[in-house]
Amino acid sequence: MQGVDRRIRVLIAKPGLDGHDRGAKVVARALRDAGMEVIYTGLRQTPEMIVSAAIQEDVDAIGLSILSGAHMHYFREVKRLLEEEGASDILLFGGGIIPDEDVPKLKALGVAAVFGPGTSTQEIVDFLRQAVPERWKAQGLA
Amino acid sequence: MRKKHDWLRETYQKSLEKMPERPVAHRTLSNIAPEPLYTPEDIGVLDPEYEEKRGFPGEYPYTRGVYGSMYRSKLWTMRMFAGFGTAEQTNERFKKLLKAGQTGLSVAFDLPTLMGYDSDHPLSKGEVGKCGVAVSSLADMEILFEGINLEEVTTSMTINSPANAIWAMYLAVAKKRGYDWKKLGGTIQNDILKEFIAQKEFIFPPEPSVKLVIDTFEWGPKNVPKWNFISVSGYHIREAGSTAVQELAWTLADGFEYVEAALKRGLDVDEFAPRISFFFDVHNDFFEEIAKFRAARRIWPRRCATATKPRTPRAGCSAPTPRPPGSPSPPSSP
Amino acid sequence: MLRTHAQTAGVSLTAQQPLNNIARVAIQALAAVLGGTNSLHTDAYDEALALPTEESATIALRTQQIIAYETGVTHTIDPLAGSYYVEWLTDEMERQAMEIIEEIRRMGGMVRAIEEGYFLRELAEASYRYQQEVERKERIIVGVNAFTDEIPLKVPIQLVDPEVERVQAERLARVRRERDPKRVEEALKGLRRAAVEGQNTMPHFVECALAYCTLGEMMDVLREVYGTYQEPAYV
Repeated sequence: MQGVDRRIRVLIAKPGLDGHDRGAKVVARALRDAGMEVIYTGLRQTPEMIVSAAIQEDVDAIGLSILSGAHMHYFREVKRLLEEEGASDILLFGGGIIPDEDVPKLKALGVAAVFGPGTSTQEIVDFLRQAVPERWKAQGLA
Repeated sequence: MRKKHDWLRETYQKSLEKMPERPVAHRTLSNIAPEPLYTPEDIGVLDPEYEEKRGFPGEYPYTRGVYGSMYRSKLWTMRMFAGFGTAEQTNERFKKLLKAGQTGLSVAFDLPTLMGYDSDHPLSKGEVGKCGVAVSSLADMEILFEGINLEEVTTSMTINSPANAIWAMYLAVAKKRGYDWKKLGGTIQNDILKEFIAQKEFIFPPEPSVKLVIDTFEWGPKNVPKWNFISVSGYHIREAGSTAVQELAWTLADGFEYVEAALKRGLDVDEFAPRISFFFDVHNDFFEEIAKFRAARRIWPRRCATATKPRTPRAGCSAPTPRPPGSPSPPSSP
Repeated sequence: MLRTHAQTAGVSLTAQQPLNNIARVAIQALAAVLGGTNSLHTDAYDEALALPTEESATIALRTQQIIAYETGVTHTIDPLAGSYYVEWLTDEMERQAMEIIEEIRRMGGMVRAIEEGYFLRELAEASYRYQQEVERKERIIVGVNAFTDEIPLKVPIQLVDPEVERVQAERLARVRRERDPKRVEEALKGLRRAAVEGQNTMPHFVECALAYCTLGEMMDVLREVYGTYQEPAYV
């Protein structure tokens, strides 16, 4: 039963050169208000920085916010590095301006969920509350 | 109180001499012919604050518009952003937009350019040409404006941290093609303070960043006198989630900050102030947006009341009145 | 005298039912015109999804032309002056803005306020409050938190050619190969000297541009002289 009141830990990151961080911050704040532990990395993170922060902080999930159109590149890189570091158990999700056509491609890469503009923060909270404990269970942690 | 017919005879006429009324029917669909302006006297009411708060178009405090004849003579400039992919693709789009009746060009740059990285820099990977056009050297800029007469168009470039360099590239293209810098019109955004507040495309710390901006204030009027070397921008502040009031306040505060920095360098306010322009967002709350533009026009010249020398009507702005911190606002009078 | 450009609110565009954005943009553009803007950019309806297509950009321009030529709002200057509400709201916004401007002045000006994280905090508050209001449906956004019956709509999307990166890299390589390296070196040296000594940098930027120095080279000089800035990560 040790996992029952374990808090979900999430890293919210803005990869790349784009500085539009309103969405990332609103999501970070909403997750925190929902009782999760949130680490926000700040702007201009390389995939290497994001993955190493995620491992160091022992997070359950990484959320990437990308509005610049470079989402394929960054999700692919982060996923690759997670695998390289043996940390592919960390749930990867994201949001931003991502055309519908790209969503299946991202899912195929192993991105668990993609939240477009207009998503309510509650949806993201609900998603993590379901998906993260499922992973714990699968790993025998809960 | 100033009479409307005096304004019509003076300011409006003078404005028409520079720019006559557009040759379209200034009549409603019922064939009623509205006058260029309506004031309290037209409906027989008294408005004791009229001159102080509203005044006449083209006259202090400019609440009702900065020019005497406004859209009767000249419509606003219709400007569309273009910029994606390579310089060739954007150039092609420019030519199409000009043909479609657009009156000014507007360039969006990709993120590496906005952050001062060449297209082949490792940090540029995946972002080249994504949010705008990539410009890494004069060669790109030459292609971007190929076949476009730079003395005939006005060009607005959304560029901030590397604004000096990008503007220099544009001017270098003009120079190489034999255009007269004195005839070039356009705008560089060049508003670094709002980057620190909102859009976050900064490179250097605030102080040297502002110094680079003031370099353009000093150099611009002498070399490219028709160019707006700054567009003090509330747009990004609003897009980052501020309210309309915060957008208004922070943008004007940025503007005052630049004016003070330029004065500190000993620049002549009458030389640089007329070339400062602004850029606001326009959101859904209809009347709040209208009120925001009117309030912005009124605050700017009022607040920029004389400190160093008498306010000239041309500049409409000189030094903000310095006061000890914490003291109440001065009465707002011209 | 405050001359201004305006742009319709990109942030107000919705990815859901994107054609609705044409109506939003038209209303916003009308507000800018009634507010007396000197220049205007109208967003394309598909900008919440990707870069505008040629068609969507043209509709955005046509929207301005309809306001300019068909609505009659240009017959008379500042037609809303004297409206009790508009005049009152203008006064009220001026009053509230002046209070904020004073507050910033009391903090010691913009640079101090930036360094102290004032704007980060204020923006985080304002945008979170707005998001909460939307989620509680105190603010209705058509097609997002109300009237969401999705009419299937296919919006053509402008995609960027992945070749761009290669084309750019090749051109850069050619520029570096063909330019006069001595002139480049001199120009960059001049820029550095101006930055170090606090001279006006503009003439040096022009010389750098003419010498085909790259943007990265120019900015690297200044990065070395001025250092770079990192903001605190605040949520």
